[in-house]
Amino acid sequence: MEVEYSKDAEMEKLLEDLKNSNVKKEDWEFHDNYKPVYSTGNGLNRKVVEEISEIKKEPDWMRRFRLKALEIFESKPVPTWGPDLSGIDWENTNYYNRPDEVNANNWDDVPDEIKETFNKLGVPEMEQKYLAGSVAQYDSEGVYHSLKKVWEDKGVVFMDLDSALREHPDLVKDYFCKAVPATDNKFAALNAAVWSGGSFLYVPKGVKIDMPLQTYFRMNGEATGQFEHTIVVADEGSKVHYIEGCTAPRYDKNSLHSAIVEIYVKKNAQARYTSVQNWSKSVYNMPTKRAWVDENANMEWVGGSLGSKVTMLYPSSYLRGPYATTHNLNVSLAGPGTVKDTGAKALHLAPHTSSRIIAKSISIEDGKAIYRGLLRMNKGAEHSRSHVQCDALLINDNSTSYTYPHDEIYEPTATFGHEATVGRIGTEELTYLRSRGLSEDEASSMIVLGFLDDVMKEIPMEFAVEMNRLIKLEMNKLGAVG
Amino acid sequence: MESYPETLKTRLNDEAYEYRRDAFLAFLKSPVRNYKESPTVKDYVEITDDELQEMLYGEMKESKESPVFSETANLKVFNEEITVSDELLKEGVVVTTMEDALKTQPELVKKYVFPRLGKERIEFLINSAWRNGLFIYVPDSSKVSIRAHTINNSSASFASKTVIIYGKESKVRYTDTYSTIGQGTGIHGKNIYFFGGESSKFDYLYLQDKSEGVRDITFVKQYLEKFAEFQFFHINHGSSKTLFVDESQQTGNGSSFRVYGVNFSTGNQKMDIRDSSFQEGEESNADIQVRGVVTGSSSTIHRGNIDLEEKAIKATGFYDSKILLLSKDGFANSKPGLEIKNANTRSKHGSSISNVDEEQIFYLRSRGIDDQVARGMVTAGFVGSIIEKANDEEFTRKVYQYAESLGANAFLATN
Repeated sequence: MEVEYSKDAEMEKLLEDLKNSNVKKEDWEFHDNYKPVYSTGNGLNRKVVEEISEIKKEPDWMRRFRLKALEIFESKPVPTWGPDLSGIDWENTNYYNRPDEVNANNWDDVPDEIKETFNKLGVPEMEQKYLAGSVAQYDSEGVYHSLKKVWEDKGVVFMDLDSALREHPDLVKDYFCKAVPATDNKFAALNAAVWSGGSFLYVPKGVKIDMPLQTYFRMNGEATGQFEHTIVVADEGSKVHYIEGCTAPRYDKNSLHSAIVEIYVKKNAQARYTSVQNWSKSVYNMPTKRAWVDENANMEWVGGSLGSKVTMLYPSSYLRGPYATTHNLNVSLAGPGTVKDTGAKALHLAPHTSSRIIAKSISIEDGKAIYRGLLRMNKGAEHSRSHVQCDALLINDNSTSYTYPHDEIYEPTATFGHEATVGRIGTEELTYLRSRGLSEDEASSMIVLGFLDDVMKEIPMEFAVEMNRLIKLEMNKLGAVG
Repeated sequence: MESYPETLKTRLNDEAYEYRRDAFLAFLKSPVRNYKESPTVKDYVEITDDELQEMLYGEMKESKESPVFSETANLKVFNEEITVSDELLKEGVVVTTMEDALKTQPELVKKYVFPRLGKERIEFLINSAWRNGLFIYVPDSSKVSIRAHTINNSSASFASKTVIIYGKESKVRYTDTYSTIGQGTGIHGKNIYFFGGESSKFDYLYLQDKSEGVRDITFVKQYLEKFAEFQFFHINHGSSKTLFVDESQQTGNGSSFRVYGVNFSTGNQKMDIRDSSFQEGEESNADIQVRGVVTGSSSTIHRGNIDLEEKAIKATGFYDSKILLLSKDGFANSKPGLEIKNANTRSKHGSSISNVDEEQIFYLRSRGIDDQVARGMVTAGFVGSIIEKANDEEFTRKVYQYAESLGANAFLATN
């Protein structure tokens, strides 16, 4: 009888809740279900935002913009449709860390300790060998930027966004938060409120840069957030390849990385954005990356998500002009204890547009790899085409993989296809390689690299080597696999 | 909703009272999604709480029209009355209403029905509020062919629950047609649960062709034991809103689940069709193939989740969705999913959305076939490849009729 009684009581209570919740139904979309972020210490409030703006001596419009974005951030709930984000300690995160009063364009002027870090990461060496220019960011501020003179003379602008806001305010204002508005999602709003650093790259009409440009982001402090904002503008008929790399040391406290990347590919232009992320396993990586692709322009996303505790990343292309195209190649490695919720979005908004998405994921031990994507063909996107392919490889018995694509087609003349597979390293393949004298580790690594081959060959050599090394490292830690 | 506990205690206070109450509790506890399904749509097929209330408190209305049953039907259901032909009731087969089963088959109900409250919010509610439905029991090693035709008044609103238990090594073929009389706008909720014994074989041919104002909510579950085989053909054609959720529960090793679905939407119809497998059995397999034809301003979403659990060693799961989007105002959508928790498995999904291949039309026209007829033929061919497997003339003929008419008319509408 006791059990029965408690069930009736519970039912009454739930019905009471139901009555109350009906009141809020109208505004369900903006219903706030987490504690407000308000703390004078580490946390985030108007004072912190105003302080950041003041330190940077920003124009008034930017200060107002930041404050508006803060309101949006506070009004939006933490997304619950994806991985568990309860580990983000909003109140004890440091939203702005300034390394030193320096932003050099000569490597020798960079403080020794920071220089040493970037030396270890091989940044200056790469710049000399392969790059047309580079920017280095340490915590919240850019510490170094350079651009080869030949490109500077052609009108290319490449510097950190803070410097660009000072030197080219109108240009920045034209593009800042246009492709990714602060209202887009909670993390975009956060970035718009507290952004610091990031790159600004402007390639004038008809200029074709044949060497890549690179930014390297390093997060060093414990429980800090990095909120860089990057804008790439490829004006009509231009061509550019922009590369980003990210790392951070491992701490016990969780850090937050919430970037915005906006890319504007104008008529007949070509842009390629490559990023390899190897954040440490205490970082929540929540960037919003989006490209506006105009008529006959081409946007390529190439990405490697190797590190971090949780990553939620869905680079998107808005195909706005006829014959615009986009390619998206992505590799995710979900190591032990990590969650990679990655994917891509392509929105076909004009006729004859095309998109191709290839996503590969590998789950090791209890790593969880998730593909989540959106493909939309709007009415009027006549004769547009798209193909999405996502493949997952599970290394251990307890590895998991999830695939959630989402396809919306409003245009009858469009053609769309999607396929996904999940598999493991086959015993037959392993046996074959072992019979040729390879150890089990070597054989497994070889199969994994073969699985990634489509993407590897699109990644610049130095990053492919780095990725190769990282994947081998993760695999070797496990001992025998397969 | 607030006065529902009272209804439970009075109108629905039968042998299943505790089950109904627990199901309602589960309904209250299950969260309502608080984010949009897509940037443009909150729900692909929205079933509001008001509509659910309608289902809870709706009436089985009297009808002036008399029902016209299929000539071949050996099980006829009209609203709450059932007529079973004698040939069906041989060798210990039981066919009765759920209400009677509570009294006459308490052991079976206790073993199969009561432990399963469901998984989803609306499913819980139907399990709490059902007032009609069938109870069928097929003993071990029996061979039965059931041809059921259920006709409801289109303006009636109700929840029903059907339970089919078939023993080990039994073979059942079940054709299940749902239609309506009148042009009402009732809301019909139904849960259909199958319990397949060891090494049993079940062919289930489901056809929903209700009038265009009806809102139809269906949850189908297959609980499959060791080596049980279930083959499912489902056709959704009628009703203004269709929410169709089918999920296998394959706990049995070596169990097999095959689904061939075809969904036709036209006018302003909205369809949300979900076919999923939940596999725990070793070497269990699931193969789901769904086709959709979208015309007019209608919308169809196909979803399907292959869930391979940790225990499902060497299991395989495949999902394949194809939609023909034939009109400029239509909307086709697919959301397949893989949830793989065991590396020693194989799984794959694929989906595509496109229009009729113009080369095929060109070929048919060059053979002297009228354009409109050619489009109908191509549409029929699109669904034919999977529906032919049903091996049932009456069933496939109907599907071809739907396809040809929709394919040809879509062309007329755009020209």
